[in-house]
Amino acid sequence: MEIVRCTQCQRNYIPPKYACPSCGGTRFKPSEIEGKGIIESFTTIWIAPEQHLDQVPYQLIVVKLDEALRVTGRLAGPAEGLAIGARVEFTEKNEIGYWFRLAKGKAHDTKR
Amino acid sequence: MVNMRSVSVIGIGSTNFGRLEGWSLVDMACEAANEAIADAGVPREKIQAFYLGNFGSGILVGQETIAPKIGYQLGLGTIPATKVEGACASAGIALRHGFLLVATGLADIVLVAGAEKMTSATTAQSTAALAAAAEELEYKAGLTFAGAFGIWSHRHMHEFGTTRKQLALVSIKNKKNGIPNPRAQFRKKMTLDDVLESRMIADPLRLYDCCPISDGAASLVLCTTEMAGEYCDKPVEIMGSGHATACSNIYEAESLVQFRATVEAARQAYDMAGLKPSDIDVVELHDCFTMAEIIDSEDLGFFEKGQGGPAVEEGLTQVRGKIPINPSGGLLSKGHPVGATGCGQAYEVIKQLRGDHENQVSGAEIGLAHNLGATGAVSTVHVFRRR
Repeated sequence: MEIVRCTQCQRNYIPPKYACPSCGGTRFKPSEIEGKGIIESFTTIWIAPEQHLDQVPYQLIVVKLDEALRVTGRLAGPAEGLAIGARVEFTEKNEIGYWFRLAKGKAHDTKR
Repeated sequence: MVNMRSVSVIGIGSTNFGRLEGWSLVDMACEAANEAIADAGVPREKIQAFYLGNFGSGILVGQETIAPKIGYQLGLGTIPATKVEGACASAGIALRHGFLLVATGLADIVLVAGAEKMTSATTAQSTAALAAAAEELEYKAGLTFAGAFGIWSHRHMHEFGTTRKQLALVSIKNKKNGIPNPRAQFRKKMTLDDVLESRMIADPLRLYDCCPISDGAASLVLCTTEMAGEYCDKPVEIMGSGHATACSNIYEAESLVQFRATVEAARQAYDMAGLKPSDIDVVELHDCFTMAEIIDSEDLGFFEKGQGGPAVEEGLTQVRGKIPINPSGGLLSKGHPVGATGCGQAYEVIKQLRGDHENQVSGAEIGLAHNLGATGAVSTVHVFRRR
């Protein structure tokens, strides 16, 4: 998975920024990550915008990646086991966006 | 910093919210503004500026340069007429800018309004408008606003044990509050089964967890408090005004259970007013979805983070509760004409503080209106006090 890293504060972002929301730095370098993480939250969409009608119902997930950044993406494959704390791994990026599938392994309790 | 002058609301007007067949965007805005001007009893030539909150006139009804068009129809002469936009918070921002102009001394009397025409739009137009307010990465992935609140709902339930029943109780309360309000789109009692058996929109949110699509407009006339007595025997002072921006998507926000823009706008408004959450007698807050009301009630400081759900269940937010929230019926019941909502909320709060609301909170003296736009990207908070 391609990301960018602020050269000043080392924060990671997915879409590039003009200035780092965290430190104001303006220099970023591209970086590659594996794309593993856990689900912080999710929803299943039953009423969709026109261009996604043929995909209903589909799952949107917010993934906390191991590199300390989040991304909103789509769940690929079966949704059994979809829960907050479940581990996922990146599968692909296409015109819809970032896709992840549920990974093997025990769910983590991420409650504060 | 300049010396701020005290600003009061001297006139209010509103159309009903709902499906207003045969009414154009301009018609609705002019109707609400004319009512506010007549209520204030102010001659039109005394109005020195006009701010309009509107979200999607270009996409939804094919009209732009909408503030000058409405200003002209209202016979406001050559005064500046400005549209401001911040999705669902557009009218809160219009109020904010009208307030700033009077407070800083650049004008003595300003007209503000919010208006939106939504029910005449085609599905393609509505979809395009939604896309225009959402963040690109999330919109392309198929996220809807109900979906965003579905995601925030699951997280809030996970962290604090907020229940599905507590969400439904927000809807039941606001539907009940809408019954006596003639401006409300929904005026029908709802049961727990009605909410829990309504169709799924974005898990865990069902149809009756979501506000409807509406047309409507609302308007206020602002004046220096010093001059307010010349026009109005029930002026309501704007004690505090806050306006803040935050991250415009879910995944880069600091928190999935708090809207930073709300927290910051509330801090500004309370600081300016010299008041705290426990001083507030009545609240109109941005309940576009049931979970929004719970999160907002915490972000505005009425309850500790995580306690918004139990507070609803204990009845603390009922009209006769400790802190009455959305006695108008809120967006859930009154409707949500996106760019009109912020002025509509202020209208309801001011009616409460004048003591003539259809669902009156007994003895209400200090009120708060909270407006939230897009994916948590923008918020305004205003605190009002009767004089």
